[in-house]
Amino acid sequence: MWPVIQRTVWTVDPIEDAGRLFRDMNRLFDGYAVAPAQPALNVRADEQAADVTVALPGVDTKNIDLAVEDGVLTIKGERPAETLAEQDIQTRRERPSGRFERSIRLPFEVEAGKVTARYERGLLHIHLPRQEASKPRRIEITQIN
Amino acid sequence: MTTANQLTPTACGTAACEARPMRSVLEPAADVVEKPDALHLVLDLPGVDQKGLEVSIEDHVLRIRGSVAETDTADARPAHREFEACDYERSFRLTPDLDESRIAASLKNGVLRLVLPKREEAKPRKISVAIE
Repeated sequence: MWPVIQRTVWTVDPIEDAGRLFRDMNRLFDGYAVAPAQPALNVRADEQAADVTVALPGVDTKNIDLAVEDGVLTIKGERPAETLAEQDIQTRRERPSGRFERSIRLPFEVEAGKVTARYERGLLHIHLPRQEASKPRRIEITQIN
Repeated sequence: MTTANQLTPTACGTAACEARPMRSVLEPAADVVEKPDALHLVLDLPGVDQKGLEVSIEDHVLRIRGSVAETDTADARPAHREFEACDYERSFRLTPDLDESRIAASLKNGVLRLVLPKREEAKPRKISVAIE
């Protein structure tokens, strides 16, 4: 029975306790909500290219679809849920699973044919080179006295 | 069955948060599945590889720590940011029916799987009853 006693020791701080309750409630609804949680992503951009990193742990790359159309990058896929045998009981379910789809507008037109992607350590890295015509150019100014 | 208490997440390791003030420490999402002979604990640790992972047990508390290396090598400006190079940390209190000496761990594609076998005496047993 000692885990129960330990638990009460941890819960003396009501603020921490409320925070944990809030997180647990969020997770509860994350796991069972109708729409699965969308994967988080970062975008970096400079004059040459945009780099998008998507957090997609435990996904088979066969189940990821990438498309670029009209300056919009779309990432579609499916994250597998834990497979349960008949006797198994899932006592905690926080990891998002199911189908997801995210679209982001890129900061400039990209060379759709030169987009590359690699999947490493659960992160999907997408490299999108900028279209030559959309790169910033310095415009010479002719001074007339 | 004592499923509710077998893996109780403990409070966040605040000491670790204070030691590395520049990096945020996140609690990774976890699934727990109880099988007849073992407990499976699955954690999402995107960006963590074997080098950055540390799994330890102390005083019946299983602690998982993972750190993400900064993946953005280019100095391109962040245009949109939803996550960052961070540390993951989460602890679980283990109940006495789990065999702490035989925990197996595997990390693949940013997902950590831990198999915590139950002690022999805690496994469900079938007792055959002779019918007369």
